[in-house]
Formats: sequence, structure tokens, C-alpha cells
Amino acid sequence: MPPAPGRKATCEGIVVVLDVGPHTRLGLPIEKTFYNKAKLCLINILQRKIFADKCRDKVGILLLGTDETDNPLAKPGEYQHITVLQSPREVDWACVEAAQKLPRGSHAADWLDALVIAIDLLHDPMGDIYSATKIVLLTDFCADFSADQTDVIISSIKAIGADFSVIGPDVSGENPTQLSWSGKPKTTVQRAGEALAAKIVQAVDGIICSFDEAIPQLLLFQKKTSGSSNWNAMLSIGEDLRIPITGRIKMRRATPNTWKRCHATDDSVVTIKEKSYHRTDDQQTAVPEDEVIDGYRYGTTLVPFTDEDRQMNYSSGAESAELSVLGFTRSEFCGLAERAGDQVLLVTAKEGDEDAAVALSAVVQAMAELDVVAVVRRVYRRGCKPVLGALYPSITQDYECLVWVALPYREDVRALAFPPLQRHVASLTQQQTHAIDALIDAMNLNITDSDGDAEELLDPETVLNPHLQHYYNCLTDRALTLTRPLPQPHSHVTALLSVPVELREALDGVTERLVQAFPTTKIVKRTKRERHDLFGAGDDANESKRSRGDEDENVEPGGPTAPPPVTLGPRVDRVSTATPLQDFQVLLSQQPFNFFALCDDLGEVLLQIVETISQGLLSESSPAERASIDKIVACMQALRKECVIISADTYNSFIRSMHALCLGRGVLNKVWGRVAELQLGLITSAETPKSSVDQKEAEDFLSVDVPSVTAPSEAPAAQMQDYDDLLDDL
Amino acid sequence: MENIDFNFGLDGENGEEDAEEQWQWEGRNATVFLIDVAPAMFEKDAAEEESDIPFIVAMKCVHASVCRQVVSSDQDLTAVVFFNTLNCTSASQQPSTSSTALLATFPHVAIPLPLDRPSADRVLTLESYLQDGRSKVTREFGGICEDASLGDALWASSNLITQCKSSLSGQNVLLFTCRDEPHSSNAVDLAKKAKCKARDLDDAGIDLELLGLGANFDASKFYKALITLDGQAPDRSIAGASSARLEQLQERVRRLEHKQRATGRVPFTLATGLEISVGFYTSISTARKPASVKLHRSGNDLIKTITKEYREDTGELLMTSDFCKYQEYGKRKIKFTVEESRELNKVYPTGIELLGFKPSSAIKAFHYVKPASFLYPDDKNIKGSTAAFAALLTRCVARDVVPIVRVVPRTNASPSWAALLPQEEVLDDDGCQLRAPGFHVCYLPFADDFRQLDMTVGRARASNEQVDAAKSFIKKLHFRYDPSSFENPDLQTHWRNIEALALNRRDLEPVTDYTVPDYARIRKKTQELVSAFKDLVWPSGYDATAAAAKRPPPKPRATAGIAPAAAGTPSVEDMARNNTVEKLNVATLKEWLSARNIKVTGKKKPQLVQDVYDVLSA
Repeated sequence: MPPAPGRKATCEGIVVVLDVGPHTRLGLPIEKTFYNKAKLCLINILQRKIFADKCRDKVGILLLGTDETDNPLAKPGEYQHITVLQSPREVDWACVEAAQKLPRGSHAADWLDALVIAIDLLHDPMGDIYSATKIVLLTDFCADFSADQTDVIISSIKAIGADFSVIGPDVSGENPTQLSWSGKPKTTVQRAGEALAAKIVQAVDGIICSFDEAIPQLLLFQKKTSGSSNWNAMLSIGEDLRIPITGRIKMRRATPNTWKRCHATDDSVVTIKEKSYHRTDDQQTAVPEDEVIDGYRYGTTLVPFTDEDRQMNYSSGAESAELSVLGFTRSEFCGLAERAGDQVLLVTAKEGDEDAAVALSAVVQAMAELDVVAVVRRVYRRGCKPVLGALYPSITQDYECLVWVALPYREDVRALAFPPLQRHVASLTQQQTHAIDALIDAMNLNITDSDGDAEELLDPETVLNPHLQHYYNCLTDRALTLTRPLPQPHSHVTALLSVPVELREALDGVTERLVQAFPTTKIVKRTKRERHDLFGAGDDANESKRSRGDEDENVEPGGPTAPPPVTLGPRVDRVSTATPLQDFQVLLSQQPFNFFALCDDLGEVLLQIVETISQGLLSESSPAERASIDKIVACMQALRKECVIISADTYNSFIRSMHALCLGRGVLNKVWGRVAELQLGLITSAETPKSSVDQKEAEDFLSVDVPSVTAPSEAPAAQMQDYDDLLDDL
Repeated sequence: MENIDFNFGLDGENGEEDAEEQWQWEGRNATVFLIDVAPAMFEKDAAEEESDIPFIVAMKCVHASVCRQVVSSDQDLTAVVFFNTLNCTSASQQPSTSSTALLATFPHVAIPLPLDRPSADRVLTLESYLQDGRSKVTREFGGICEDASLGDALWASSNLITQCKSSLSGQNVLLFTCRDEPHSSNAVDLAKKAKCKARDLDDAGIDLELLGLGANFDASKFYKALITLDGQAPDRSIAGASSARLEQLQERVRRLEHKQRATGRVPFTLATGLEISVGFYTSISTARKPASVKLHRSGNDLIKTITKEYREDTGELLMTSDFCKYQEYGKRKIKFTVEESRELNKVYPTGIELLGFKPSSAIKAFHYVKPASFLYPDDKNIKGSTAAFAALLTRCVARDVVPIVRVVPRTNASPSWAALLPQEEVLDDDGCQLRAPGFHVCYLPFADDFRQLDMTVGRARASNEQVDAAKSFIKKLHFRYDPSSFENPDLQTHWRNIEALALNRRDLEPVTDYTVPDYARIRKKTQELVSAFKDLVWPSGYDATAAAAKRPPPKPRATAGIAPAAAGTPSVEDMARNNTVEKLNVATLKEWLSARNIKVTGKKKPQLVQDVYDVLSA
């Protein structure tokens, strides 16, 4: 028996295979490491699933390069250092949090092995779990692999019908095989790995793309595209001509879901609503419900309105759904500016009725040739009020249809009257006319690119709603960090509705002429300013400071017109590996800041620097290494100073992770001596009552481990495990 | 429920739009109808035998305007002031209770309706003037004369407005007269005084508009100089125009009422360094039935409804501040304070920013999400705005391009984007404005707003002959559409009912439903053409109604069970291994077998299953 329709699989199964091996974190700065970019991709994939409407897709996460091994195919010596972080399941915020705390592995693992496990995780022979499957591989191909299973993998991917994407290698650049992501020449292994991956991708018709191509797309959320139900009716032109048609919604503004309301602090609170009626006298005398009747206002006069009066209400008289033509009018009389309603329907002949299709085709073509629009009355179904609308003919190569948009009633139209502008037009100088013409030329959105192809910038079909994007970002931020104030709109969001980069240069070329041609003076109204001074000025000043920060003002003195957070130049919005201390201090001085998030950021950066030192990228005792250690120590001093005041636990938890990492990477002696010397150990209860660490524990922490680091060159497995656990806490 | 998408008539579903409506409130509009009641106003115009006397024409305008206000803007204020009455106080009004008592009185200037919101009583008062005309005026104010000073009349009108306690967004004085020379030619003082008062009105931000009655009214004799302040207020568009036609006059009053009602003033950035100021106007706003109110059964007093919320467990009264807003995603309630939930809209600063230009043909009929707004420059905030705006407007028309802009009309408004459709001024034969100059803000959809529809490709198309047949009857059904040609029958019926109750009308005038096609007329004009068309496009016996009732054939993708097969043939092999091939449907089996060159025609399912096993075991 085939699967019953009700049980039909509606969700996609996705396994993200992510390389967390040691080589993925080589080099600086932290934001540019493969590890970080891959993590960003993973988090964004998860978030997109959370926000996709009615999405039941299941996502699994498979890590390769982990210290441990935890996967269903693991046998001694096989499938080692590959961990199933999460079997495919519906995505929730816990998944995102797990992805944020992604472990750092210290072993290389075979990515082909990981693919085999991924295929195993998606195994769904009956097709009743997944409607489709997908495997996403994120690796830099540094690890050794054995290619002997390649053919099996290709046939298995084909067998389960999975989409296969590889994100990471830059294959589109000028010299695709020359440089790795870290800027170093690719190793033989990497080159072989990439070639093999490309071969698999080709065999299974998959995708291979770089981070630069993938991330901008993953950063933006796309609502699951919805269709429309069919509205079946008769298009009637008089009583004698009736054509069966189907209307479907083509356009309707997608808005955030409606907000729900709950008790602010306690989710368990059940509320009871009580409605009461009162006179508007001084005592607010209560009135029993049965003495209350409905009425309407006629200006200031109150008019009771009984059920009997309601009998006289309007009825459309339509027995069923109808779309009736009142007449045809030249398209110029029915302009695009005077329309009403909130949606656009596409009207086609009823599915499967080719006789209707011919009749409608004749009407559509005739309307197009005569350049007319039909004015129609639409009744959605019996009992609904009639809506006036216009039908515009639309003919494409593939289909013909009528576009229906509501028209306003007389009551909806506000007649506007304004003084003529003729006087101003007449006095325009040639310079002014030329300046505007130059602006129109410079900002033409229909451009021709270098290949001579015409391209329409800001095409409605591709511009995502920045409001929704910001909304999703805010929800993400709030879901993951409860206390943080709302984030500012990201630059990739504000860029959606800004002057396209392609036009900026041309625009700059005409701006000066334009500004000269049209001198403007701001008029400050005294009354307004006074009102401002009384209530607004103080707040305004604070607000602008809070939202912009000093940095921004230095970079963009362009005046008050420039939207503050748009991509205009470097802004300190997170701690970088290059200047962590400075960044930390700038961010602390900016309002508002989230102390804990900031400490986490700084901690992450410091651990990254430690790791770089430990991987011997910097030669032993080199000035560079000393500089790095100085950097770490200076940051720790700053961090500790802030934490003593605000949160001792944050620092203590950080310093423990730092200790474990140094121990695990065998660089304890290099860093720890300085830490002890400068008294940068645990914050004790003597320093702040917020700490639960006593003096003895603090001293032990600083001293005890120092001798044990005499032979730190190879990291024992047991210690590695500690390090992992501790990092999870961070 | 997908159905709800179509329900225009139902309430709800429009939460966001309603919230926007409230934001547009900037204050009330105050209009003073200043009406000349000199004897000439009660004399029939010799040239226009059919029409009413000028006084009745003026009062009909006022009556229509107040009735319209009840429906569309019942917060707005109106007053009626007569000049050239004999007395300045009414016989029936109690000076002590009337608000006019606070105002200075002027000889021969009377205030039959002080500044107030519309009500049933006021409508009835206007109707009594309409009915009794001159005798009513005489009864109330002792008689009529020609002795009033226009300056006094303007002064009385402006007093009404300046002493109003509500915050006002627009202030108008509409002057109705049929006498183009209000003062005898030797009264130079009076003329000077009138001009002086007109200037005071202008200074106070009150617009004075003239509605000259009668075909022979010549504004240039006296009023033109008054209205335009000797040319110093040249932006007054309607100055001097006169009309005898009631409809035309009413239409003009209607336009004047909406004047200056800006939703907001926002900066419009053309380029870095060039920012102008524009007023943002609502040109189309769906009028809805008013919300009902609660009244007490006896006495019809207004009743307040109070809703309180308690905790079920403790019985503690909860305040608004105890609640927050939330969205649920990823199995978590994501909470925001009410202010934060509004803050989320803020992505860009308030204002309009130019993003580029497109040819006007790039804007398609289906690029629509909500009714357009209107832009007109405002030199009061940034001087030089009008010049730049006018330049942009005329160049856009000349080059046939539309500016593409980002629009954030208010703080906390979610961002939108739009094409600015230029509109040049259009005047009627009398020089009155039909279309105002400015830009229509036609909002554009975002990628998120497009629905994915499967359009069936390659359906039957009509031949040239069939198209010509369609053209022949379409041409017969031509008419000139105007946005104000159709009244909303539902609203009209509702208001007729309310009005009947409020004004104690016995006989209900029937409401004509203009949305119903005139079938008789259509048949008369097109009957033969339509039947010829039907013969051309449809086989004989085609019954559209029966065809519509037929269910369309199921779409291929709706067939269950094909999906697994599409995932790849090996799944059939897997199933064979598990001896579960029987679970596949016939289509899948046939497809699989056909792919292996096995004949499937005429075979029943058991045979097909057996074939699969045979193939695999071979």
C-alpha cells in the first residue's frame, strides 16, 4: 500500500557536515578563520529553519575533527574523530545554542567518512520521513582522506536523492587552486580534496561555492513561499457572456506574525477578563448588561440602532461568487496611483476548461490591443460586500491573464488641491534643469554591465523587506540573549533599501552640482524649537549618542541625512584579534552594551590568540609571540578590572577555560608566569562579595599547575577532554 | 483559513492599517462658511432659469459638506456665519448658553451655527434654512440688508477660529456671495478695512477662499485683490473662479475641505547635501462603517465599557504594564516590551530617500501592495524645497522616468519603498484644478510579497478573428471612469439608515447600487456581437455554467505515491529487497518497468509487482 496522503512526508532532511579540526582555526583575525565562517553558516542555516513558516524540516549536525568519536558507524580505527552533535531533528533555539558553542577539535578526520555517516543519518528508504534530503559539507580539505569509497558515496547520494552542496573552497576566483582561505598556498592534500569534491559534486549535480557567495544569501531570511487558494467564479460581461475563471492572489504584503500578549514575568499566569458597563457620570455608575444597547454616532448625536434597524442593511444580491464587468475604460483613466485594497489577483480561465481559455484569451488580447481596462464588481461569495476593481490585461510568452486590483469608492478618495507649481517651473534655470537631468542619468537603475547585459537594480522580485529581516534578527538576538537591548539594524539589512553600490560613484559625480543648483535653508520655527527644548532636546542628544557612537561620527560627517548604521565605514561592533583591548574599551564606552556578550567576545578572541601561539605559527620566543602574550595579558588586566566590579563569575569562568586551554595546548608556561606575576588569577571573595572563590583556592589555581607543565609538548588525551568540557561553559 | 484573504467587507484583519490611520491624526480641520444674505442672494439669476437662488445654492453646499463630515471626519469643526442680517443675534438662541456669547459682536453679522462638530441638530437647522430660505433668516435675525462691512464679517469668522480650544490642522473661511461689489463704490474705507482683515487672516494661517455665485460674477472687480492680497499671496489657486452650477461648486467645496491635511512632513533626500521638505498626504483611504457604541436603554446615554484582567490564582488586578508582547518560534516565547515591539519597525530614519530612477514602463499593474500617498513640497520647513521639487517633477515628466525611493513616513513606521509617479496640474475649462501637481507615492512590493503561483503554460489562445469579435463588443461598453464615480452601496445604505434615525426621517430614499451592471443596457448594445463572439469561440452547446461546476482534472503532482519514486529508482530495489514492492502504486511500477523496456500496457498491479521481482532476481 502506498503511504496514505495524510502521512506523506512534508519535511526536508538536512545534515550539515562541519569541519572543526585544528587547521580550520589557523591564523588571524578570528572572524576570518574557516572555523568561524563555517560556524556562521551553520547558525544561519538553523535560524532560517526556525523562522520559515510551518517548517518541519529536520537538521542534523555532524562534526569532523573532534577530539572524541561518537557516531553510529564508528569501529576501532574506522570513522574516528567524527561526532554526531545532533541527529536530524526539528530545529529549535537549543540547536542554535549548541552551534554557538561549537567545540574546537584537535584531530584531523576524513571528510569522505563523514559523508558516509551523513548519508546513513538521512537513510529513509520509504520516503515517509523526508520529502527531500540535503547534505551540506563545510570543510577546508586540509585533512587526509582515502578516496576508495568515492564511487559508493556517489551512488549512495544518488540513491537517496540528496542535494549535495559544498561550501568553503573558493573555486570561482582568478587562481582557484593557488591559495587556501588562510592566504597560504594550498597543500597537495587540499588540492586533491577539492578536486575530488568537485568530481562528486559534478557526478550528483550538486553545488560548490565559496563563503563569499554563500554567506550573503544565508544571512537573509526568506519566508517560505506561499501560494494561494483558488477562487472560482464567473467573469460575466453582461448576462449573456459568462466565462468560468479562477482568481489567485499574486501579491499581498507579507507582515510579521501578529503579536501575542502574555504576562511579562510569569508564563504560568492565567488571566480572567471581566467586562463591565458604566455611565459616564462622576460616580461611573455600573449598568447591568441587559440595559446596554448598540448605537452609532451621527456626528455628536447618538443614535440607538436595533436589530430591527439592521434589517435595512445592504445586501449585494449576489447568489454566488461573481466578477461582473460594468464597462471598459481607457487605461489612462484608471491610473496606477488611484487604486485601493491590499492585494492583487491573477485571473485565468478555469483550469482544464480550454473553451473558457479561448474566450478569455480573446478578451485579454482585445483589451490589450484597445488599451482598455475593465471596471468590475467583485463579490467574493454570497453575503459578502461588493468590491469595485479593475482588470488589466497581461500577456506573456507563457500565459495570458487579467490582473485584478481593487478600485476606491467615492468615499475613499480624498480630493486634494494644491497651488500650482508652474511659477517655479517657469523660473528654472538651465543649470538647474541640467543638474536634475544629470541626477536622472547618474541614478538610472536599469544598467548595462560590462558584458553588455541589461540588469535592473532594485527589482521588486528580488528586494527583500528590510523590516522583516531586522525583525528576525531582533528575535534571534532576544531568543538567545534575554537581557540585551535590541540590536541596531545590520548593515546587510539596511543595504537592501539604499542607493545601490553600482550607482554610488556616478552619484558622487553629480551631487556637488545638484547641491549648488538648489540652495536650501532649513527654517527653524521658534515655537517648535521651544517645545523641543522643553521636552526633547536632552533626550535627543542622548539618543543620537547611544545609537551612533563616536566612531561613526568621525567616519561619516556627511550630515544628518545619512542613515546612521548603513555600511559606510569601519565601525567597532565586536572585538577583533588585531586590537582586542582597544575594541573592548571602545565598546565599553558605547551605550548600550551587553557586558556578558562583550566579555564572551573578548574571551573568545584571547583563546584564539592562545591557540595560534600554541600551534607554533609564531616561532619560539619570537618578538611576535611576546607581543601576542603582551596583548593577552593587557586584555586580561582590563577584563579583570571590569569584572571585579560587575561580575566576578564571568572572569573566573574565563580564566579557568584559559588555563585549561593553555594546559591542553602546552603553552601554559609561556602565559601563566605572566598571569601569576600580575595577579590576574581568580577573583576572590576578598576582592568582591560577588565571588565565591576563597584566597586559598585562588593561590592554588595560580601556583599548583605551573610545575606540571614541564613537558607540555604533546597534549594528553585526558586533558583534552577537560578542555572541551570547560569550553562548553564559556 | 485561506478564505479570509478575500474578505474585504469583514472587520478585523486590518489591525495594522487601523493603527496607521490613527497616526494620521494631526488635529481638526475648522471651516467657517461665511454667507452673504443680502437681498441679491435671494433673487433668481436671470440667465439661469433652472437653478436655485444663490442663497439656497450656498446652503446646499454647506449642508452637503456637513453631511459628508458626519460620514468621513466627524471630528472636524464647522461654523456658519451670515453677513448682511439686520440683527447680530438670533431670536431663538440664548446668548448666555451659546458659546458665541464670549465673542465680540459685529453689526449685521450673525452666527447661526457656532464652530462645532457635526450633529443631527445642526443638520436639521441647515435644512430649515434650506426649506424656508429668506423667511427663516428674517425670523431669526430680524431681516436682511446690504450694510454689513466685509471686514467685520471676516473678523467675526476669524474670531471663531482663533478662539477655538482644539488643536487645528487646517483653517478655512469659505466666502459665498453673488455680489461682486460688496460695498458701494464710494465706501473706500470699508474696502480698505476688508483688505486689512484679509491680511490678518493670512497672517493667522487661515485660508480665505471665495466661491462666487452666478455666471456673471466678476471677481476682478473687487475680490481678486482681496483674495490674493494684491498679488502677494499668489498660491491661492481658486481665486476668482465663479460658478453657477451646484455640482461644480460642491465639488470645489469638497476639494477645499481636504486642503492642507498633511499626514506628516518629512525630509526628502535627493542626494547627500540636498534635502528638501515635503508634505505627505493621504489621497485614498478606505472609508469603513463606523464602530458601534454602547448606549443605555433608557435615555440613550453613552456607556463606557471597562475591561479588567485578574490573575486566576491570586485574584490580583493586572495592569497593562504587567503584560508584554511575544512571538513564538523554535519552541520559545520571545518576549518584548510593547515599546520594543514598536521599535522593531525602525530600520531607517524617518524620511524619503532617492534610490534611483526607472523608466515609467517598469512599473507594472501587478506592482501594488497598498493605496498610494501624495507628495507636495513644503517651503515652510526648508526654503528652496518647492524649486527643487518642481524641477524634479517636470524633468521626470519630460524624461518619462519615475524616481524610486525609500519611504519611512513617520517615526516607528516600518520602511517601505515606492515609485513616485509624477502628476502635472490639470485644470478644467473654468481654470479650476482637477488634478493637483505633485508625486503619487505608489508603493512597491518586496520579494516576500510575491506569491508563487503555478501558471499553466501553453493554454489555448484566441485567433485574430476571435480577438476582433471581442473587440467589437468591448468597444460598445466604453465609458469614462473617474475614481469618484462609484459610491459604496454598503456605506451609503448604512448612513442612510443612521441619518433617517438621527433626523427622524420617515421615508427612506432608496440607495442606488451603482456596482450592479446595467444588464439591460449591455444586452441592448452588445447582444448580437456577443452571440457572434460565442459562436466563434465556443463549440455549439458549450454551457459555461455546467463547465464551471465540473471539477478540474487533478493535477499530476497531487497524485500520492509518485514522490518516493522520483527520489530515484534504487528505492524500488530497496523495497524489493524487503519484499514490499506491493506498497508502490501502479504509476510508479509502470514508470520503473518502462524505464527497463518492459511492456506495461494492459497489465494489472499483481503482474507489475511480479515483473519487478523478476527483473531484480534475473
